[in-house]
Amino acid sequence: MPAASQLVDRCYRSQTGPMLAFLTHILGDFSRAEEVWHDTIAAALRVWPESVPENPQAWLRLTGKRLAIDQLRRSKLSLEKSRLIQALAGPETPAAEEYQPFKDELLKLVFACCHPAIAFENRLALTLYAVCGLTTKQIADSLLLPKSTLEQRLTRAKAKLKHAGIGFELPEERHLPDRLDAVLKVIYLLFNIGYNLEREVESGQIDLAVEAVQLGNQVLDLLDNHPEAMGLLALMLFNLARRPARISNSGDWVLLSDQDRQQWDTGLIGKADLLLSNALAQKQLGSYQLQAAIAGVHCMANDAAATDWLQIRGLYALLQRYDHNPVIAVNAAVAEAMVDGEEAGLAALDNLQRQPSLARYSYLYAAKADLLRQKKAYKEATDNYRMAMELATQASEGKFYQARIAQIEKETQYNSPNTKPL
Amino acid sequence: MKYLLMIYANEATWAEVDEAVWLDRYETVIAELKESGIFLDGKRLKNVDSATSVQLRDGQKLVSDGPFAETKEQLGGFFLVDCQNLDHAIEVAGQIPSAAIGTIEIRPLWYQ
Repeated sequence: MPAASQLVDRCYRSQTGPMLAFLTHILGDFSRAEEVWHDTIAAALRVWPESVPENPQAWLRLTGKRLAIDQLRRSKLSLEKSRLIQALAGPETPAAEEYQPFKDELLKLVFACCHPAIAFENRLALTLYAVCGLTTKQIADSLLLPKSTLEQRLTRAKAKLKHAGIGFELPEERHLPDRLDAVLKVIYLLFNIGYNLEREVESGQIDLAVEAVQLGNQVLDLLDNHPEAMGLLALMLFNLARRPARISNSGDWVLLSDQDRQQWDTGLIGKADLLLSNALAQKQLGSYQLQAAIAGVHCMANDAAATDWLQIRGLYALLQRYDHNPVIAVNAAVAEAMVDGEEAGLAALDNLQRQPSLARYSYLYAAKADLLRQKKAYKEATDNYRMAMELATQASEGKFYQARIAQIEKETQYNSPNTKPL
Repeated sequence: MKYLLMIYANEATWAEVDEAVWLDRYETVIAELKESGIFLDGKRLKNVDSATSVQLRDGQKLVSDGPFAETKEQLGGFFLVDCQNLDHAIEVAGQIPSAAIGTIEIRPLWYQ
């Protein structure tokens, strides 16, 4: 009966996070929880084709719990464990089984998977696996990695989890800012990987951008509307709203200023705007809220010319106080140019170019090239586009710069220096 | 959970600091950690030029002058601490004065 196996698949996806959280809580060990969860799924695959349970979630929880108790029984018993078994094996009231998703346990799992002591790429893999309920194949495909590499990352992440003393507990108040920051970073990076993917997401394939938004929603719910978590979700939604317009039919990049704004998803923009307003109302400003505010100003403009650059420049100045990411400084310089003209922008960018962290950042050269092109310094513009092309990290990015160079060459060919510039 | 915090710093950098000031900082931190029952042990090591490495291969003892691995920063001392979890150990490692000029490597003990 294929319906039953589809139901198991759906349950694996939606219940992996809560179940691993619940089982880790009982067993005190992630690897054993994972084992029990897989046994539970195997049991569902055996039993469900014969008779589909009325409440699959409750069935999984009950079965998982029984298997976990068996596990505890088989392992050497300490007094503490035997007490735990007695407590767990007590009468099963249906109300307890419907008790909603172990909010604290799930949050502990999220914090553990995103712990800053786990290498970044391993953290991403573990979060997708344990919290989002993706299979190793789905994760490998969505990150464009061979399955073996992905499995290696998962193994490393789990080993760190097991041995380093990363507790399955809510961080203490004084560690919370760092730990929360690590969680939000994982979500935003996942979003960006999905958002920048150069191929269309086919049906049945995992869209990491959507996945990240869901995770953001979940974390927001677990954290009772933390302002930065709200800011991050708003930021992702503003970006997602513009996604359809960012790549042309021929697969080329379309600059924000050239995008067809009819294609922007006004529903998502409205949602993001509301979220951001609620976040800002809490009056605890942070990097994600400010980035969302900047994205919001862009989204509110009916056309590129109507963009409120004065406000954007102000927001960037504020953002630089919260976030020392040099990439933000490049964007701030571009905003500077939009308000005070190309010279001001170029001066700021030249300054930034001297920073070692930015010397090989393609957007910096592209931003310079753009300003130089506007002031008709075509040769320097071309040089900078070439530099950007050399440093580009994506094929479509390089292609975009190449098109710009070709355009300049075309313009300068038909307009010798003596004729009136275009 | 017990952790060994290994204190790495470039000996050349260390030679340039005002040692009295730094030893004072260390004493303050150690006193605080002792007070809260976190500090189990800790010692400073002599410079890496005093290091000797030994290997036994096919019953043959190989003794060589110098550390096991040549690194930019050298192991200069350790703290043995008892912490609640990794977050706590990271916090304690951050209090070790040499964290500001070197690196503290945190390793849980095999047997707790």
